[in-house]
Amino acid sequence: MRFHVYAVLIQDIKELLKQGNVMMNHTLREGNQCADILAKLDASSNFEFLCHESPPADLLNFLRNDAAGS
Amino acid sequence: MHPSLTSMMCLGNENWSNAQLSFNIQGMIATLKACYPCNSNSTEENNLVKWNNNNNSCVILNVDGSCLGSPTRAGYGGVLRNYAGFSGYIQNASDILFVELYAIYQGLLLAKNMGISDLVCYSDSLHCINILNGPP
Repeated sequence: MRFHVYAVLIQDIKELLKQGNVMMNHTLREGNQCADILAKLDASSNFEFLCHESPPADLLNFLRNDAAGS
Repeated sequence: MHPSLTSMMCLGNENWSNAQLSFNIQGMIATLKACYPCNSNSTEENNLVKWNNNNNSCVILNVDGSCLGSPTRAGYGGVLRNYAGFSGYIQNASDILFVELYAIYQGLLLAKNMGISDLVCYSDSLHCINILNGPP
């Protein structure tokens, strides 16, 4: 039997999925804009994990767009 | 190009007045337009994609990873709607599949730590979704 390169990480995610009632879904990039911005934001910083209690200024307009459904 | 040479090539060395020339060109354009009916509007399709809010029935997690530049810097980020956002930088990673999976992992971990058990997680990596939703 062959294992995936990231078998351990995949197994960890599957454990988390099992613990709660979580559904994984695919979306196109346009529907994922806010996450995309955060991902690019921290490719240029040095924090290993950063939790934002309130959204960064760059993100506000995109969040408003999503909320307005446009 | 010399005007007389142009005249010889295009008009068979006849002398045409500007008005005559313009009239002939416009006539030709009208003929061509009639031959090829314009249907560009009917073939064009607009795909409008927007964030799916699932009718606000549950908590939504959007995650994404990115690899930028050379040497590659990898980052991940996500939004747990109405709760928090998160982002981070991954050292020594350059594989986008790993980064996308790691983003999902961190997102789910954050949701668990915040005590949210019912949620829908969206990623734009179809490969990841197929791996996680596929057979165990």
